[in-house]
Amino acid sequence: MTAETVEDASPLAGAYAERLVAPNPALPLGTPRGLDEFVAHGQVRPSAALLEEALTRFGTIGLQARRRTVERLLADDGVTYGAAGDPAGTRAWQLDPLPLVLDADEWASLERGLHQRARLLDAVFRDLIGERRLLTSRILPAEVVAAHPGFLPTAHGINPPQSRAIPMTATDLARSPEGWTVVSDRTQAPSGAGYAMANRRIIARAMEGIHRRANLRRLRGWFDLVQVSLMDAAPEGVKDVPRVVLLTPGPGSETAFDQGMLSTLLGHPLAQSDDLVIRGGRLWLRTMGRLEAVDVVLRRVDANWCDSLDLLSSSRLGVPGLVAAARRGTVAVVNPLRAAVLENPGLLPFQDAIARELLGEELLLPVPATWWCGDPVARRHVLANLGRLIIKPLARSRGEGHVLGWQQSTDQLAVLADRITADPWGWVAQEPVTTSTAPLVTTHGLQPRNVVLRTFGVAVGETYHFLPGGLARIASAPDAFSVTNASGAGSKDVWVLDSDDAAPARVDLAALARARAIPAEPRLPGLTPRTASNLFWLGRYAERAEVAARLLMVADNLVEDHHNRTGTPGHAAMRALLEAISAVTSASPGFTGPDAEERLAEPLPVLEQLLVDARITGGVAHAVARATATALQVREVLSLSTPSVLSRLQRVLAEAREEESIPVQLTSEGILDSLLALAGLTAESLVRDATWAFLDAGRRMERAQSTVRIVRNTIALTRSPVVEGQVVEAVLRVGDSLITHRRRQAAGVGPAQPVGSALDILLLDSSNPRSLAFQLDRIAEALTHAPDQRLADRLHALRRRVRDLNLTTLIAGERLDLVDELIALEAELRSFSDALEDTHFSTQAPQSSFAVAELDGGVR
Amino acid sequence: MTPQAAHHLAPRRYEVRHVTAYTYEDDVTASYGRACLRPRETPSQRVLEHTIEVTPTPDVLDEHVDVFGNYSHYLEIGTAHRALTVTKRSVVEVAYPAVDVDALNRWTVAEAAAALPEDPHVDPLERAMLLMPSELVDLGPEVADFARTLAWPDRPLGDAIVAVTRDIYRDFAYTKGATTTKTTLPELLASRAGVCQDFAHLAVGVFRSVGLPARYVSGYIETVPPPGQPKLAGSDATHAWAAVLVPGGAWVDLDPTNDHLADSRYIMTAWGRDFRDVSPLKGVIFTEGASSSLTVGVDVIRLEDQP
Repeated sequence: MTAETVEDASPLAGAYAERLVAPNPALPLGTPRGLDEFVAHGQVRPSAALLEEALTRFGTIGLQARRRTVERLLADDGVTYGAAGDPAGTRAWQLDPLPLVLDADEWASLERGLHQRARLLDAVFRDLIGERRLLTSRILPAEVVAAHPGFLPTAHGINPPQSRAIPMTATDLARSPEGWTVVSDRTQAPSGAGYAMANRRIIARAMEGIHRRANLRRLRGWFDLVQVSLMDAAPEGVKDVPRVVLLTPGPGSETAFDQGMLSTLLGHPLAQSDDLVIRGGRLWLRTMGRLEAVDVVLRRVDANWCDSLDLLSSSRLGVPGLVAAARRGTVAVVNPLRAAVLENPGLLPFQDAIARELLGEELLLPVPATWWCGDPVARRHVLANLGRLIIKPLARSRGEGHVLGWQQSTDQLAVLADRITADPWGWVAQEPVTTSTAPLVTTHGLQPRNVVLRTFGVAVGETYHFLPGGLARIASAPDAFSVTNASGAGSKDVWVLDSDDAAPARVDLAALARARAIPAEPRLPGLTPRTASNLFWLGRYAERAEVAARLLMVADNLVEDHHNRTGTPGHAAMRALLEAISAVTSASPGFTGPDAEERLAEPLPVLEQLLVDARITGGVAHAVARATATALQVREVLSLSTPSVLSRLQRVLAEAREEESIPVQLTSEGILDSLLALAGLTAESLVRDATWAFLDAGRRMERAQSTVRIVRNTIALTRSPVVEGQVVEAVLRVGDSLITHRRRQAAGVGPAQPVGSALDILLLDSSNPRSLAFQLDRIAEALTHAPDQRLADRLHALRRRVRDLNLTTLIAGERLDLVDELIALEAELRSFSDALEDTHFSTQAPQSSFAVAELDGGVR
Repeated sequence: MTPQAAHHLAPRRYEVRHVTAYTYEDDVTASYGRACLRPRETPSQRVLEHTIEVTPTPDVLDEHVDVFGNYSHYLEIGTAHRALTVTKRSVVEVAYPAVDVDALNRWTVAEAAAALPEDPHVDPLERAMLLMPSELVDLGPEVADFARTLAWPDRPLGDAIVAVTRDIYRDFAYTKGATTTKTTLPELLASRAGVCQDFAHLAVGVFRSVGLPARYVSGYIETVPPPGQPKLAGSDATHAWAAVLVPGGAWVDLDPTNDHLADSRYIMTAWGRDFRDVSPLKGVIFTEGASSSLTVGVDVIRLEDQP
C-alpha cells in the first residue's frame, strides 16, 4: 500500500484536506484541531487507501449516488431510530457511505485496552456487590456509589451466575491526540450492536466494489459468542437448552430496530411486560395457551423499570417479582440489574487507584481528567474552571445530559454552580477530549465532523470478545462537539482490516456447539398473545389495503369509460361501484350520504384521495400505514425481506403524491404488486407454524368479511339486467375472478344466470382462492396451529351454513332473503373474529400498587 | 424534651400481633407482596418468637436479609382471590439503654459530621446511604434552612438531638389525614401538620442536611389506655421514629412524635433510608377491580412473666 500525498490525491480528498487547515468549530475556542481519521500529516492514511481509490473512481457525482443508495437501502431494511412518542418521532437511521477504517495493529492494541477495561468493570462490580474492599479501604468514597441511582439497594443479594458478572459491555471512545480515550462505559443495557450489523449489510451492498476487495474482520461470529454467553448465564440446574428472552420496552422504544435485529440474529423472542409473568417464584413467557419457563433475560429495559414490586412502582415495562426471582436464582438477568452502577462517571477520578487495587495493573486506555464534586478540593477546582469543563450529573437521566461549560452564559454557569454546591455528590466535571474528525459525505462534498466509536464486548468464560470495530457515530453539524443519536448524529460502518499474520480468533468450539444446541424437548416458537395479535392485524391491514386498491382500480376504470355518459347502463354500473366503495370501506369522503351527488359527478379527486391520503380511515394509504406500523412491532418474526416490501409500498404512495394528477391505475397496480409480494413472502418464506397461521388467518378473515360486504352492496341488489351484467363484471374483476366466470359461462358450467355464476364463484366455490368458502377453509387450517375446540366448532358451523346456501332460491325475485343472509353472515364472521381475538390475544389484568402507610402510627 | 424515665428503661417482654387485611371488589388474579414485618435483633432487642401467616396460602413466601440487615419477605399468590390477610406475631425482649445527652455534647454537630467518615466502627456504605437524600427525604434549601435553626454547626451534638426531638413535637400538629405516603419534606414544612411517619422523615432530613447519617425506624410503641379504661384489642398501631449516628458508631433513637428519646417501650422492626425501604406491607396486584378496602389491627401486649 502506498501513501498518497494530497497533491496527487483525488479532488475530493484534496478538497477535504484543505478543510482540515481551519480550526475545528466543534471544539472549544482556541483548541487546536485534533486528529483526522482519513488524512494524517497531509496524506491519506494508509489504512484509508481503499477509500481514496473509491473516491477517485466515483467522483463527486458517483459519491452522491452512493449516498442515495445507502438511504434507499436503509428504508428497504427498515432501519429506524427514535421513540414513537418523541416529538421528532421515529426517523430513518443515518449512515454515511464511507466506513471508518482501522488497521489490524491499531485494532489489536485497542482490543487489549478494551479487554482490560472490561475486566476492570467486572472486578469493580463484583467488589461493590460483594466484600466492598474499595469502600472499606477508602480507595473509593462510598458516596460516589450511594449517590448513583444504578446502585439499587433493593436489588441487593442477587448472585451473578457467571464467572464474569458483567457479560455485556460497551465503551464509548474518542480518538484524541494521545490515542483512543474512554469517554463513557455502557453497562446498563448496551445498545448498538444490531445497528452495527445493519450498517455492515448496507455498506457491503452500497460499496460492493471496495467491500469485496477489502480483507475485513466479519461481524457475525461475535453474535454467536453472545449466544454462548447467554447460554452460560442460565441458572444451575437448567437441564435442557436454556430459554432466553429479550426484554424490550416495546416497539415505541428508541432503539427498537436494534432490539429487533438482535432478536433475529440470536433467535430469541422479544418479550414485553405483558408477555411475561412470575409464577411460583420463577419467570414464564405467556405463549399460545400455556406458560413457558424462561431461564435467561437479556434486558433492554433499564433496571429501575424492570420490577414494579421492588423497583420503580409506577413502571409498566417490567415484571413484578423479577427481582425476587433473580434473587432465588431461578432466572438470570443480563446485564445484572445493578450493572448501571458502572456507568457512574464518579468512578473515573479514582480508577487508576482502583485498577492497581483490584487488577494490579496500570490502565492501557486513558480517560479524560475528571473531578467528583463530592470531594471539597475537587469541587473548588471545578467551580473555578466551570467555563472550560464538561459538567455531568452522576445519574444520566432523560432530558438532562451533560453541559458544555464553554457554551454557557455567565448566568447559566452561576445557576449550575449553585446546583453543584447544593448537591455536590451528584456531579462530576471533565476536561473535554480533543475528538478526532472523519469525512462525512454531504451535498457539499466531504466535510470533517467529530466522530466517536462505540465498541461491544461479551464475556465467554473469563475472556471478553469484541465485535471487530463497532459502531461509529459522526456529528451532522460542523459545530457539534457531542456526538449522540439524540442530537441527530449519523453513523459509519467500521472496518477492521485483517492482517495476514493476525492470530486466528480464539474461538471455543465446544462453547459454540453449546450455543447451537437443539433442545431435547421440541419447542414451538414462543409466540406471545401480543405477537399473535399483531400478526393477525398485519394480515388484516394488508388485505384491507388490497381490497381497497382493487375497488379503486376497477372504479377508476369505469369512471374513465362512463363518467360523461349519464343515463347509460355503464354510467349506472359506475355509480353502483362507487357507492359500493363507500359501503364496503366506510371511508369518508365517500359516494353515499349528503353531498354524494357532487362527488358522484366528479369522482376522480375522491378516488385519488382514498388512494394516497393516509388520514382517511378505510383508504388504501391508511391501511398501508397501519400494516407497516404493525409489521414493525413484529419484525423479528417476519421474513427479512418484509421491510423492503413495505418500504416499496410506501415509496409507490410517496411517488404518487408527488404527481400533479395522481395516476390511480398505475399507483393501484404498484400497490397490488407490492401486496402480492408480501402475500408471496407469507406463502413462500414462512414455515407453517403459529406465526404463519395468525398472519394468514388475519388475511383470510379480512377477505371473507370484505367479500361478503362487496357482494351485499353490489350484486345482491336487483337492477335492470343490462346494468346488472356490467356490475357483475366489475365485481368479478374486483374479486380477480372474471376470467373464471367467462370460461364457465362459455362452457355452460355452473349456474346459467350471470349473477348466480358470480355468487357461486365468490361465495361457494372452495377451489377459488377469492371465495368465502375458501377463506373459511384456510382459517380452519391455520387454527390447527393454535387448537381451540370452541373456535373450531363455531367455524365448522359457519362453513356448513355457507355450504347450505341455496343460490337458486336466493337470487330469485327481490333477493331480500339474500341480503338478509349476507347481513347475518357478516355478523357471524365479525363475532367469530372477536371470539378468536378473545381466545388468543388476551392481555393480563391491569396492575396496581399498594402500600400500607404508617399514617395512623404513634398516637400521642 | 421529656427526659428518658428510669422505669421505662427496665427490660420487658412484649407480644406483638399485627394483622393486615385487604378485601377486593373483584377477583385479584395475581398478587405480589413485599413485607417488612419480622423484627430484627439489635443490641437492645432480642426476638424470642416470630411467625408470619398469609391467607390465601401463598405459592411463595421467601425471606432474605436486605442491604440494611432487615428481614424482608416476598410473597406471591397466583390464584384468584378476593381477600388477603397477613398476620404477624412475635415475642420480643427490649432493654433500651439510657442515653447520656451530656456525653454527646463532647462534640459539636460539625465535629461529629467530620469525625464519622474516618470512624473505623462505621461501615462506609451504610453511612453514605443514610447521608444521601432519598425519595421521601429531600435535602433541598427548605430542609437545609430548617435544619440550621436546630442543628447549627457549632451547636453541641446532644443539644441538637434534643432540639430536633422537642421542636418538631412542639411546632408540628399531629393530624391524621394531613399527609400521604408520598408527602415530601417541603410540603410538610409548609403545612406543619402530619403523623409519625412525616416527623420521622423530617428529623432524618435535618440530620442528613447537617452531615449526620440518619435512618428511618419502623416498629411499634406500647400504649397505655387512659386510667380506669381497659385496653381494646387492635387499638395499638405501628409507629415510626428516627435514629442518628454518633461518633463511635452508636445510634441514638429519637421520637419527635412523642417528644422523647426511645426507651424500652419501643419495639424495632426495621430501618432504612425512609419509609419506602421498610414499609410493613406493599405490593402489586393484577385485577379488573378498581377499589379495595384495608383494615390494620395491632396489639402490643406486655407480658407479665418478666425475664
